[in-house]
Order: sequence, then structure tokens, then C-alpha cells
Amino acid sequence: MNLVVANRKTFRGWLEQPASQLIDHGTSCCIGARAWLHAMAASYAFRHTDGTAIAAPTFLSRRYKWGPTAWPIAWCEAVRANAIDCGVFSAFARAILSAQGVECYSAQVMQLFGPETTAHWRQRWADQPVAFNWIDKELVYHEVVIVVIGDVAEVFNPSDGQWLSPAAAAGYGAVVAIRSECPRSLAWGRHTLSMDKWILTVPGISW
Amino acid sequence: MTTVYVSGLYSGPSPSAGVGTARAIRAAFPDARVVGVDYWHGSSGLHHEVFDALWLLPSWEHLDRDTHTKEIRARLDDGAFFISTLDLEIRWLAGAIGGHDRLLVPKLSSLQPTLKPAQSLTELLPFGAPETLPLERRDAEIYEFCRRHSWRCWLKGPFHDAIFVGDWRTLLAARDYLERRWQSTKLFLQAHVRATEESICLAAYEGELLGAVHMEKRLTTAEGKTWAGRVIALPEFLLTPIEKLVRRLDWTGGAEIELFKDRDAERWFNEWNPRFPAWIYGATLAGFNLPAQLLARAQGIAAPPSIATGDSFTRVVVEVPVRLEIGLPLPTEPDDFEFVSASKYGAALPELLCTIEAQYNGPQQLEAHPPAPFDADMRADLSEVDFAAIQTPARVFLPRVADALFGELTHRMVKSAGGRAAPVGAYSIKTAPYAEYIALARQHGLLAECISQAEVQTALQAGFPAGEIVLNGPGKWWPRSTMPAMGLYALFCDSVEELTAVACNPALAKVVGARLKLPSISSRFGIPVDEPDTFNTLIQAVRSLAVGVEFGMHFHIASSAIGVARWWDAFESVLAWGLAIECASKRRVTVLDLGGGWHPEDFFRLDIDAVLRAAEGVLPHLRRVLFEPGKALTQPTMLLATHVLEVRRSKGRIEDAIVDACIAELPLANYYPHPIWLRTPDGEWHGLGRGRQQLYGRICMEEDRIGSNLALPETLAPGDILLIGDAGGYNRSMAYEFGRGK
Repeated sequence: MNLVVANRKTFRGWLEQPASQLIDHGTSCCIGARAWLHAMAASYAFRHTDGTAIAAPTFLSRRYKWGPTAWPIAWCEAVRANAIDCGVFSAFARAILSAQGVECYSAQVMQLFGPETTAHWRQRWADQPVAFNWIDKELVYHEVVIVVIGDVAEVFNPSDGQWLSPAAAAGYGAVVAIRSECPRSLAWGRHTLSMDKWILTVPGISW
Repeated sequence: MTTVYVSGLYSGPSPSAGVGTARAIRAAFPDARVVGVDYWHGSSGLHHEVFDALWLLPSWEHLDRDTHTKEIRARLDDGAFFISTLDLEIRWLAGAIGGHDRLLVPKLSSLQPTLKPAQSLTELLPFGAPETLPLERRDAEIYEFCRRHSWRCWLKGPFHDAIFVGDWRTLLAARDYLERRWQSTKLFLQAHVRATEESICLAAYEGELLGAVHMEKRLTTAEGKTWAGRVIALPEFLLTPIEKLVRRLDWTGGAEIELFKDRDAERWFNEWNPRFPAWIYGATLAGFNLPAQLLARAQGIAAPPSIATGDSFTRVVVEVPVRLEIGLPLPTEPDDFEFVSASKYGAALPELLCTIEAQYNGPQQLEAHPPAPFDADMRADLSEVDFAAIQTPARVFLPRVADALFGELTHRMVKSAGGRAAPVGAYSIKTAPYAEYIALARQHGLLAECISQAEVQTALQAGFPAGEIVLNGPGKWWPRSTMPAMGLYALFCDSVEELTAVACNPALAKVVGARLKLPSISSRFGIPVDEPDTFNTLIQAVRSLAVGVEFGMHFHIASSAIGVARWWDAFESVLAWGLAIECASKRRVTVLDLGGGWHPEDFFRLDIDAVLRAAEGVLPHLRRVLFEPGKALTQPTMLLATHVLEVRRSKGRIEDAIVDACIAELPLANYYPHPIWLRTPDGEWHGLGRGRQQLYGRICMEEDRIGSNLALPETLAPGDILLIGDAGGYNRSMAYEFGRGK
């Protein structure tokens, strides 16, 4: 694969962008919002019915549409939004999984979608002029969650409620690069993820 | 030139593997003569260009089995190979032809351990096994299995079909359908596993594993069949046990192990299919040509190399020309019962199953599994009833049984007391608002749980002070003609409007609370919390409660309907909501009302200590936890006595019987199983086990069926008396007058 990044400035922004964090006002508005979100997650955990240890919050992608978010945004605003972006999805999912006692960290990926798709998203986000530019021509920046199981990373995409596969390195939506915030090395398929280091999962991205 | 016969060419929504297997063979052996075999004119695979010739046979109901055996044997003896991709045909071939070097199907002895549910295979495989239950068991056991698995169960046929059953009525209908379709009672229930699906496909020859692959389903049809998938070589940790299993089974042919992968990435065994799967050509595209490996090994030659075009496959729908010599079947004439005409595989496989079952097992006999015998309390209660004089239909109250149940509840409350949160029992009056039960509740120190002012008055008149009454429900103020009692033990509001109104009157109850409508469970009851703004509205109302009034939470979801595991999930989510309400409102949750809705067995097995400790662990100010059983205390305490009015026979054997009871007296007759006993001439009671007969009621309604799938004795006669168990609770309180001329 030979992917060419169209906009170097945008791409450098991705490389340096930290994972999104929601603002916490520290007052009852945000305290209540976080409590509400945890209670919603508990309502959809079904751990007794399914007999499983981890209850990935797949309900988030059914509850919230994916769409532009005006940053910075606080917990009390985010839970009320009809549409949220991947940064909010990731923040929600991390909070929910951590409350379950699951070791999890934010992660960022670059995914391949192609210009026919990114053109639409660029238009949808056009009303957010000061938004972080997550869209290049073929590639996009996206935020997800790493769940640590032993020395292995499982990557959950809360925006669509699916687990990303390290084997899906080609095709629409393929992950071409990943960065982990976990302080120790983790295996993801045949890749080794190190903290804060972008790992190319396919050869050939040039910029 | 190698000739290979490949059967199973149906290529509809749940396709057989014949076309895929043929394509795989063609890819490796371009010069082979591939002959397609099927038993239905409408199998579209007949028209695929991969076949050099076709052998279209009559359906199994019109086939002459001996002729077919001879013809297959002749072809095998002539040097041809035969690969079957039809489960039932494989079983038949294994018996009819047995071992033959060129018949590439497993032997009977290899097949036996793989028959569904095939749980013994998991002893050698590193997979979990979902719990199963043969449907020949007693109905009470089947009902318990379904409740324990939260009514997420699959009813499966002996070779094909799987129907999801979410309640008792669906199970009864599904059981009837599958037993009729397959003329078999060898059905079983399997607990659902929430998971993605995977498969392992293998090829083996005389116990030697030739190759195996792993497939992750990526797209599936509405029937759960693979539409697209990713195929990879089997990892070592799976290869070794599968090699061992194949050797132990002495397997020949293809096979597919269907698996589930749950959210913890644990794998569960679903089924062993004794043939290649329909997606087998997808594996060939990924470089794993298992049919070719099988054919090569059977010929004693090296398998041709296989070139991979990628690791994933998908299906597309294409039109192909119809072979002139085959043509198409005529359209099926629509009948009165089907509104959507769907062409089904017309090979009459159920006929084949009947032949196989008769050949190997003889006529199917159902095991009796009668209801459990009466215990001492029940015997003592029944001994006081004059059954010779009883006018039926008549209810028979079991006072000792009732007293024992109420006593057991109190005992459990006392036993579990001692922690920070005390358990408190309350009797649900609506379940059975009768003096005998209310008196027992009072006698055993329970509170009274009411859902209307009328019930409050009943409780007050029975001696319950207001301070020992819990008031619930959406219509608790009805009838409005009655002045509401003040100083109730607790009152749980069903809406924010009600909570706001009640907050203005702190004298109404010592505890005021909210019933919650949990986001994940569909219900009309309770205050919704699934939107931040509606949650906030609840919080404002909670904040408005007077300082001296305690705040509580109520949730009531019948575990008999959603299942025990699901109830625990709902309970834990209620605790989370309680914590959220405490955080947001700064009011403490001191009382938790867990309602009722328990099957008697489940309630008395409930680990009350675990409930209390879990609740204490989340809600730091919790002081009391209310349990409000109704049917758990009353359902088993009443029987319905009924006389046989008529016994109907067909071909000299009993078909069904009519009794003088009906669904007016037993409105929940088909909502859960009821044990039934027949009085013998010497005055003893004989439990009726599983059979094929039905017990119908006296009225003119199709659904007036009192008992299903019973073994009615041939000696049954008009005038015989039957007792129907579990006739208390709502079977009594929701009974109505019908067909009595008044």
C-alpha cells in the first residue's frame, strides 16, 4: 500500500494531538452527568445474563449519533448532546470501562476511507471552523479505547460499538496507524504498541 | 479420469455445501468429472456450470431406498467417489453402505458422538459448552432451565432447525412445530451465548487430519448463515486437540465445528456438522482447498497446491441460465395458511429422518417424567378433602403448604438480618387478596403491599396498621372516593408528577420513593431515567421531599418473565441508579424495594445475603431492603380439581380428553407449566408425565387447553378426577366467570 497524506500540516497535527478529555466542572452538574452515564452503562452491562467479565459499552453508539462536537465540552453538556464525535465517545467509554474495573486507555488511530467518503465528512464538519481537523484526503484521525488483557491490547471503537481487528489492515476503514496511551508495551496482533508512539500497521504511508 | 459425485445442491438462503465443494474440486482437478446429486428439482445449484453431469433423484419420500443404495454402490465400485454435504444423507449412507474406500463420509460409529448436542466432544476441545436440556424432560424442569437462562434459549431439532424461545407460549408452539416437522421428540434446548460466530472446517481420512481452517463470520444472513468471512490457518493450540479428536472419532470426510466467541473472547462449542460447510469455496479462495485434500488422500496422491487470492470471501447473488434438461419446478399453489410463498427445500428430509430413527432406535418412546410426588404437607392437606363429593371445577386450598411457605419467607428474612441493611418481607395483596393469605401474612409478621386504596382498606380491615402498609402502582389512589391512609410504611411513586404531588404531603408515608423504569427493559411502569433531562426532573422532585421523609427506590421486574440472571443485571443497574440519584440529589437512599414476580422455586433459592451485601456495597446509607413475593407464596398453595367429561380416541388410542375446568378458572394455563395428577381408583394420586395427548377445557375457545403433551392413561374415563397444580396466585385472582349461564 502506498498512501500519500495530502496535507502535511494536518497530518503533523494528528501526530501531536493528545487524546480528547472532557471538562469536569467539579460541581453537581458534571457530578450528576457522570453518575447518569455510569448508571446507563450499568443498565446495559448484562454481565450476569452473558456471563462475561467485560461489558463493552456498545449501547453508546445506539444512544448517540456520531457527529461534530464543539470543543471544549464538559460532561454535563456532552451527555445531553444528540450527536457526539469520537473524542467524546472515547471519553465516555473509558469512564465506563474504568468504573467496571477494566484497565483501559485512550488510543488514537488513522483509518483509510478514501476521498469519496472524506468529502462528505468534511462537509458535515464544515460548520465547526475551529474544530480539530481530523480529515485528510484518504485518511482520517479517530479516537478509540485500548482495553488491556494481560499483555495484549484489544481495541474498542465506541463510535460504532465494534472491536477493531489488527488483521484488518486493508480495505475501507482499515487501521493504518495506532498510538496507545498505555504506559507499558502491549501486543496487538503482530504489532507492539508503546506509549505515545505512532505505530504504522501497514507499510507505505508517506508524507 | 476421476469421477466425483457431490450431493447437496440447494443454494437458497440456507445453502448446502454441494456447489462450493464441487467448485473446490474443480479448482484442484480441472479434468475431473464432477456430477451433482440432489433430491429436489428446485435446487438452483443443479444449474451451476461446475457440474459435468447431474443425478437428479426423487425426494426421499418417493425414493426407493434399496435401489438408491444399489446405484450408489455400483458407482463406487466403478471407481467413482461420493462426497455428501447433506447431514441426513450422510447418516443414511453410513448405515446403508457403510465403509467404502471411495465413500468419503464418516462411519456410523464416528457419527454417533457428534449427534446434537454433542457435548461430549467438548471434553477434548478447548471450548466451553453452553448448557443444554433434552426436551423429553418434565415441563417444570424445562421451565426452570428457561428462567435460569433468562429466557434466552434456542429450541433445536435433531439435525436441523433452531428457534429462539423467549417465553413459555413460544416454547410450546415451537415444540409442537418441530415435533410435527421432524416426527421426532429428540429436541433440546440450548442456552443462548451472546457472541460473534466462528467456524472451524476440517478434512480427514480414516482418522488422519488432512487440513483445518478457522473462519470468522463477518456478515451473516437473517438466518445466521455466513455471507462473508475471513479464513486463516488454524492456530497450533487448536490444531492439536482437533487432530486428537479426529483420530479418536476415526473420521472420514469434511466437518464443521460451529463456535461462538463471547465478549470475553472465550470460545463456546455450538455444533458439529458432519460435512463441509456451505462457505467451503471461500476457504479455497483463501488457499485452503480441503475437499481437494480429501479427494487426493483418498486416491493416494499429493494434493495439488492451492493459491490464495486473499484471506476473505463474500457471496454475491448472480443469475445463471437454467439447464434445459432440468428446467424449473412449477410454482407452488398458495395454500390458505401461508401469506408469503417461500420456496422451501423440497427433498422431504423429515421422511429420511423417520426412516433412520425407525431403523436405529425403533418407535420413539417418550420418557414419563411425571411431576414430583406430594410432600407431607400436601398429603395432609389433601386428606382433608372429600373428593368423592367435590363439585368441580373446584379450588383446593392447601393450608399447611401455605403456612410453610409464609413461615419460610419469615425465616429467611430473620436469617439474613444482622447486616446494615435489614431484609423486610411484604405480602403482595394483589396476587391473592383472600382472607386466608392476608391472615397468614399478618400472622408471620409481614408488611402488606398494596396497589390501590381498595387494597389498603382490605389491609387495614385485616388488622394491618397504616405503618405496616407499602403502597405501589400507577393507580394507587383509586378509588378516589376513599380518603387515603396516612403514615404508610412506604409509598413509591410511578411518575415525577406523582412524586412532586406526594412531596407536598409529608404525612402520607415515612418513606417516599420512586419506581424506576430501567432503560434496558421495556416496561410501561416507573419514572424514565434514560435521558439526562428526565433524570434531572426526577432529581428536582427528589430534592423537594421533606427533610423528615426517608427516600427509597423501587424496581419490580418479574424474574419469572425475564429470567433470574437478567433480574440480577437489572438489580445491579438499579443500585447504579440509586448511586446516581444520591450523587445528583444529595438525598440518601435508605430503602430499596425489590418487588416480587418470582417463581416460587427461584424465590426460595434467591441468595438474599448476596442481594443485601451487593446493595450495601453500592448504597452506603441503605437500611432496609423490601421483598414483596406474591405468587412465590401463593401459586403452589392451591390446586384446581376437575372431572373428565369425555375421552376422545382415534384409531383405538386416546387422543385427548375434555374436562369441566377451563381457562376461565385457570387463566394462566398456557403461560407456565402446571403439574397434573389423576386420582386412581384406590384414592391415590398418579402424576401425569410427558406424552402426546392434550387436555382441553369445557368452553368453546381454541386456546382453552388445560394441559399439553401429557401421557393420558388408556384407562382414563369420564368421571375421573384430576388435580391441576400451581393453580393459586394469579390463576385464582384473575379467574373469571364464563360459560356458567350467569
